[in-house]
Amino acid sequence: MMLKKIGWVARREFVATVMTRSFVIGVLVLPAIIGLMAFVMPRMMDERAPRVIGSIAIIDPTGAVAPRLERELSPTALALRRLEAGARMREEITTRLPDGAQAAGGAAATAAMDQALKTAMGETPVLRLVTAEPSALDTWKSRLAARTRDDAGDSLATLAAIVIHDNALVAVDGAYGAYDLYVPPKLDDRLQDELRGALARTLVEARVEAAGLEPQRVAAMTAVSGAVTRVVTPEGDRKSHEALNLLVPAGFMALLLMSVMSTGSQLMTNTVEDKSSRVVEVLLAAASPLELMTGKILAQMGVGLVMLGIYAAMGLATLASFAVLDLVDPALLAWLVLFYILSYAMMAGLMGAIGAAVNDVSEAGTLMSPVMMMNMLPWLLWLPITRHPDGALAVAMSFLPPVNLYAMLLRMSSSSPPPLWQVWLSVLVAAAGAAGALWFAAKVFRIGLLMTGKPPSFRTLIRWVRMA
Amino acid sequence: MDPAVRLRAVTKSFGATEAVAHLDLDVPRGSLCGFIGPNGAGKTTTIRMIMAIQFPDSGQLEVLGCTRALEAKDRVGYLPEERGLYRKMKVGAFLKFMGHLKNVPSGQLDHRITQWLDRVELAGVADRKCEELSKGMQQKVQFVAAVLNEPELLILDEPFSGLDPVSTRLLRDLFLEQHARGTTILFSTHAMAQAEQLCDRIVMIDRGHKVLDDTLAAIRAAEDTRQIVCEPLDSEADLAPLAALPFVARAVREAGQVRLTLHPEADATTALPAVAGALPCRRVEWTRATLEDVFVKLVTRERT
Repeated sequence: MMLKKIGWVARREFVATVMTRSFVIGVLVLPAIIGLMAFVMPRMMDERAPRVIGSIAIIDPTGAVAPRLERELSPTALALRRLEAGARMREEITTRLPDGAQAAGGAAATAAMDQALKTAMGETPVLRLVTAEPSALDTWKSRLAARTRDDAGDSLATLAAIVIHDNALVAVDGAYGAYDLYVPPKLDDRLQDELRGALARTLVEARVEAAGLEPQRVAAMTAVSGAVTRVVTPEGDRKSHEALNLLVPAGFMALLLMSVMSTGSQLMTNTVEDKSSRVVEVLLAAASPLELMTGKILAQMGVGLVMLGIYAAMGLATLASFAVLDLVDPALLAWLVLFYILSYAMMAGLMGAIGAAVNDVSEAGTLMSPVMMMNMLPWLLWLPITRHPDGALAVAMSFLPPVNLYAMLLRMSSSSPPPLWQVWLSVLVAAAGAAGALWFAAKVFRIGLLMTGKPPSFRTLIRWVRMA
Repeated sequence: MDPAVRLRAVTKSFGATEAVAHLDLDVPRGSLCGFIGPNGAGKTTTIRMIMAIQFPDSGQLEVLGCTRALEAKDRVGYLPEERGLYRKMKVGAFLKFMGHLKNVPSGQLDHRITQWLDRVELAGVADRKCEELSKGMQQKVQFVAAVLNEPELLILDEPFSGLDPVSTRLLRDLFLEQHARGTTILFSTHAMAQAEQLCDRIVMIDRGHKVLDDTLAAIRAAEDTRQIVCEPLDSEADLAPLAALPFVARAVREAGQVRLTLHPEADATTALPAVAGALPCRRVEWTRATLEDVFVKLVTRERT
């Protein structure tokens, strides 16, 4: 095998891929999508509940719950609570995001807050509480069962029936009762949440009063606010950012997956194009199939490293501007490059073989499906592995190619990194997987590049491998 | 001297189909060898094996003295039947890339490209994208790519297909020129008249088997048809005077002319004037067996 020829093939492929408008656009698409999701989507989403007007029946043997609930469900009280929810959302965002991020994330936070205000000031439900006798329950239930979608907005619509238990306020044999809530099919879940919230608050308040205590004082004693967690680092302490702790592993995995997938696909497309434009025979007259394949694979690996470098630099610059660069272990970046090379080699073997086997991209679908499904796996594994980095699933996946390096990267960037021997073992497994995939691709390349006609099945590919 | 190409018992199958069967072949150095046969005869597969693009299932293959055909690639020029270029690439860049792959010294590459583009009447297209060229122009670019490395062996697979007569003539002159400077040429075609016109040696192949391998002169000598063709001035003239000639075995009228098949002992020097004297003719000549005739005869014999 001549390294010089491999070099020339790689150089041509690299330049042909990188020096195109589509590559530049492709590189910019991802940040554009993230920006779109962060800034535009919250503005486009309308979380407002539909306008609700109707009656709620309450059967209250204690006599103390219904008046309180009526106050809780008044339009003013409902609007106030929605405002408070908006304020909590803002606090949540500002707590979970680093200080620096609030400048950039501020737009998203403001949008969310605006949304909360809009919800509060918008269509507040108009609920009429009707006190009923226990004997009337069946009648109310019949009305609920008969209610249809068309009844929405009808001031006479029956929205729910509530039955307060006899022991809801005073414990009998040490146990408190609660309530039964009857609702019609497909009642908006946000209204149900509001009802349950109002009932819970009302019952607690009534129980406190029934016990001879002051409800306001108990509320003040049971509320804990203003608590702050601070992370201590060698540079000093800073706020804790649970959201970023979850997002950083996902970011690393996305970086790896995206680079591998896009360059793998590009390798397949280029190979198919060489085949369909018939230039492949001209090339094979000057270089061996192995030299050609190696050059192509190296070229796309280079393209992937360029992409990885660009995105990693953008990510690090963002973290640095938020003053949370310490969330990223520098060693992890070196691992990322190694993991990329091995994951890409595995993917390149498969995609290169597919590209050599088919006549045009449209024929690649059948062979591509399993590869695409394999690439969905890391996304499915993200949360389970990040939440339980030492769990059985996480450990097993760390040694199962072709997803092992994605799983390992998630574990390494999680709060509980794996022991180093596991990392190296996973690397060895990936290297063996990559060698196998490349061997397979070399065999298919040798036979498939000049094959035309019906696209091969997996069985045919295996036969080619045996023949070559 | 070793032949430029030597094949011994080379066999290649695709599934159940035997594309090339136990093929022995010698292409002498400096020869212009026509590799002929109908479509599907196994010509392209044989050429691809010589070029180490495909690999034989069994048998030995030697190219320019190298037992591994891959090692000889840089000394061979190849114009495949299925031609292709990088459509988005500029002509100059494509030729440079091919030159590098063929290990042409970098210092000479630009000069050679300019010179060759000029010779194939494509001066000034180096900065144009390949997709902007006509099919004929693309074919010329591919020819240039095949000869950039000044090959010792030039393999041309159906080089004239799709070319207009002017381009055909240009390309033919160029590859005859290559031959004149000592390059061995293996020229594959299914158009046997072309091979007959250009080649000094012919290899015929049918269904993967070699049916003929000799110099053109030897083939012609062996395939003396003993036939005279004449064109009577009166196309409706009675053929009885011709049929009555003692050396004529048979006289058949065909497409405005008459074909006379002679007895084996007939003497050419006396037969021609005798035919001309028997019937006024516009033209009287001895026929020569065409390669097509030879091929049909050989293949028919082989298949029966």
